[in-house]
Amino acid sequence: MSYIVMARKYRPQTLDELVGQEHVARTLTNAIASGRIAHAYLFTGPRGVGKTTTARILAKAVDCVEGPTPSPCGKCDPCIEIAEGRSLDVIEIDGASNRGIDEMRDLRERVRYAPPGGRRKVYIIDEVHMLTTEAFNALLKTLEEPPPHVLFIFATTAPQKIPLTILSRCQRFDFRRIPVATIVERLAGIARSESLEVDSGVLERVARKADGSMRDAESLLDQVVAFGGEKAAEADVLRLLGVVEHDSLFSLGEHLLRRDLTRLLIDLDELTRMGWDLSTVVGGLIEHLRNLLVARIDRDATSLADFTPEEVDRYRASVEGISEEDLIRCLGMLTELEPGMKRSSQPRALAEVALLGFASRPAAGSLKDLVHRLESLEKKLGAAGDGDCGNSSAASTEGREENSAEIVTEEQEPEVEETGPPQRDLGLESIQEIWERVVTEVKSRKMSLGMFLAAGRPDGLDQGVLRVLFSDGEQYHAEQVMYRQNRDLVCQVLSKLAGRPVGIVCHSEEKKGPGAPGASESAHPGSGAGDLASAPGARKLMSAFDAEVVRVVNRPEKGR
Amino acid sequence: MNDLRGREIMGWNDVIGHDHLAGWFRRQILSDRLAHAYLFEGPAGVGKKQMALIFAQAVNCSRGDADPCGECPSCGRVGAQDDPGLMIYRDIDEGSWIPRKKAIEWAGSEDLLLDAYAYLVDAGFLNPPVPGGRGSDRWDRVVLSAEKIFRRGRAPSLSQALEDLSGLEGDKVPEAAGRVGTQLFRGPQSLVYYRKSMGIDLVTARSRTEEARTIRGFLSRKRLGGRRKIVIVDDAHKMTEEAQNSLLKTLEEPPQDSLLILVLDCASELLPTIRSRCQRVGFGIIPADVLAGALENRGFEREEAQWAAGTSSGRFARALGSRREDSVVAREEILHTWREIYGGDLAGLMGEAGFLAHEEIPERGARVRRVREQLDGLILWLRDLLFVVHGASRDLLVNADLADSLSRESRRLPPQVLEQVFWAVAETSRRLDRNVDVRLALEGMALTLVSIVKDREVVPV
Repeated sequence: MSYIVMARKYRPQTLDELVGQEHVARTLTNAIASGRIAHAYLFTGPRGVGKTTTARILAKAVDCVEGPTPSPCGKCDPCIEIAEGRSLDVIEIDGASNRGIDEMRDLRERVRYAPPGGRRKVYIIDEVHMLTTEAFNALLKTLEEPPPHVLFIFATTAPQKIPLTILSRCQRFDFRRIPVATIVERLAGIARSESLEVDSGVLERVARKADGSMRDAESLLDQVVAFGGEKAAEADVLRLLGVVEHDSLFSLGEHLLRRDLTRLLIDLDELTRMGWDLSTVVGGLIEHLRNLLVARIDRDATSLADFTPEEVDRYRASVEGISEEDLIRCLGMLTELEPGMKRSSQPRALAEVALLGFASRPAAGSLKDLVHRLESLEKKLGAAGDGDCGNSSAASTEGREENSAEIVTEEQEPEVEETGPPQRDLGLESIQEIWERVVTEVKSRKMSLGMFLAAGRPDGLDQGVLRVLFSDGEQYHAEQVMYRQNRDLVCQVLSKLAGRPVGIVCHSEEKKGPGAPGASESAHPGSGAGDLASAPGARKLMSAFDAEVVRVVNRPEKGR
Repeated sequence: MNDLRGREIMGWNDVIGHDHLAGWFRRQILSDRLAHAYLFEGPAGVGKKQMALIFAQAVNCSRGDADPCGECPSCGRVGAQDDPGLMIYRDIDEGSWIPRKKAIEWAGSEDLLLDAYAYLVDAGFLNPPVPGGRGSDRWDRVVLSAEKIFRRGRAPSLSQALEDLSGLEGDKVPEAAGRVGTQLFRGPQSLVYYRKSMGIDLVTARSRTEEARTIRGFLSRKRLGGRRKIVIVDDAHKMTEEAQNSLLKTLEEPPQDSLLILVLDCASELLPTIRSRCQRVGFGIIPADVLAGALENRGFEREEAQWAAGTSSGRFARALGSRREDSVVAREEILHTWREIYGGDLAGLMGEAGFLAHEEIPERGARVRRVREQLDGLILWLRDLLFVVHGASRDLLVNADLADSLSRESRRLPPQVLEQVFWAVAETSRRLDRNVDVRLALEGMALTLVSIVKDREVVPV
């Protein structure tokens, strides 16, 4: 006789032994005691919480010599036969392998015959969600009005795959995930009756890793126990279970969040040296950060009930001074990283660079902090009025916040243009001086536009509008530069480098001169759209409405 | 995960870097606490399959010890995957490792073997074999052509291919090809091939002849003189949802003396109901120093062993597969590509893309594998650069012997740009996994790289 794994050996034989499903046990007990047993039950819930087990107990309960009784004796012939899976009255069907309409038709035929042995014929269909639609439909009539001697019990992990017509014909019981404490208790009981010595810390790890499933927990305990007589070191057990040690996670998490690059690299190296696959580590880290986040947000730690007070304290200490925003950002980075690692050929390098990248960027300040700082800045500005003071404080604040608020900088740009460097008188010479830089900058933002712009040269400056001259053959270039989005970009760059708003119009060489039809319709210095477009007020309007200047119309005199 | 056909398996020590697991299995056998279902999960190429075979040997060894004796008939048969008490289900496209020594025996001489391979490839029996290994431990990775086995509308069968092969006569070369091919295709009786996915026919079948080769049919056989009936499902993630569901009941309460081992890279691809019924055995990567040591024992030179250990991310199979000339050439190429990257040399990178795409390799799987290998080198180089930038010590580098050049090159681009370059390459490598055109993907990468780099100035060194 070979060894029977704990999950099978300690399968509950009565409803009393069933743990974590008291709501189901009580209802069924009452139903049996009062003789109100339905003809069809549906048991749903996650893996390993006792669905099939309950189905078998229920079968025993109705077929026991003393039955129907809530506590089958377990000694009579029917009980023993059912427990050993050789009863003629209890037919256990694997719904996943017998899923077609033929099998169900067959079943429908057999249902009619009276039970050969006992009181009731019990059909247990496990994994019932795998039946085909036709098979389900073939069952409907039988399920609604079965012969009195028949009891159907369906078990599944996926109730959403079962047709509503079936659902409405069954009494449905939802099995719950089993709490950690209950699992630990049960495991301790098993360990006692196996006369094993297992550390309670290990039991707890096992229970938590099982994630609410008793069978998972029992399988894991089996694994742990196989470490045998010499008491297994917790680290070995954890490694076997694929759980990264808490200490390593704490260390890794802290060095990551506190931007300690050197130590972070050492941590990663140690873990890989121990043979950890970094995708497991990243998975563990995600869970760890989630705990940290909860510890950080939830002052009462009620959702951390799974943890001991010492652990909660430890989590709290670990996040001391770290903002929620930063934690969330880190979690986001890791969750984005994890799926990519699975299919990468270099998962380790991926994880290393992602963590390194995160740790080499400054921490995100908390949003509250930021708002606070902005408010105080506002006050300062208000107090100092306009002028130098405002400028300098704005500049210094911007320097400080540059990293923490990347989004803000972009939107700041237009303002910078206006309050930027001191206004100096702008001449054509100074534009010509910076022209090369303008072209380079434009190139860096949009290569093609830069090339077009490079073909032109600044030719004149008229009331803040720069005239750019293109040679005759390059009319196309001029047109491209004056294309709305391009023009805006050039104006932006030009204004930034010149330190004040500058508009732009393009001319091609031959038709040079005021009044002559230019390369584009907006080439009228002084009154043209280009000019208007560069006026600060108009720019604000345009950006607010996402508008563009189509035509400039002089308002007609009143009383026309 | 590869078919280790014909490799001599000696014992637990043969599996490198998983001593604690071997110890655990031994204890399970000794204390008679063997479970009936195991799930071996961990990165590809770290020795899961090999461990499964040794485990199978140990469990059924006639000496009844926790260590396989390697001498009894049982150990021999299990090792050769030719045992009535063993079933191995695997994907044909994953290929087999054939020891060169053995293959030469089949063909007659090494020259004849190479000719025979070429002949078989031409005749459509094989995909081009990839050589690997060192010294006396050389092997060829051979992928049988699925078309010869899986004919339309018929159950997979080797007999037709064997018949075709036995017809090869006359010249020396076809004769040798016939012998080699017959050996390759005959295969041991424990192997059942699947292609692309393992459907419900993996677990159960309607007809009696088919049923025998399914898991349930095999496990329901009579006891075999006290030995266990062992099922190994290689690449178990290829099981369809139906197959997984129909395996549930068997996994939970299999017939007496059954032992099921599911082997796969990533257990999260299986249903939670499957996972919950198995004892999960997590395989980690092989620590680099252990791996390098093992490689040295197999005829690698020290420096080369360290490089192979580093680039293989702790996977033994991959490290063994790296070739000496590759390590030198590959690094030259990486440096060359790197120069083109930081120089923003679009023309150069586009040329590189055409070269890297390896359009001369006809089969996509093999081609992608080759391309990824080369991108891997680049990825690790960029990773090292970033490590240097952030002050990592020398022993953390994969290319530790190039530390000086690394620290010089790391200043070419600002760290943030370097990071972007890294992700662009990594993303391209990942994308190859999907059904994209290899060359287009690489050209796309070239364009992205140039636009990333052109945005910033290159720092002269």
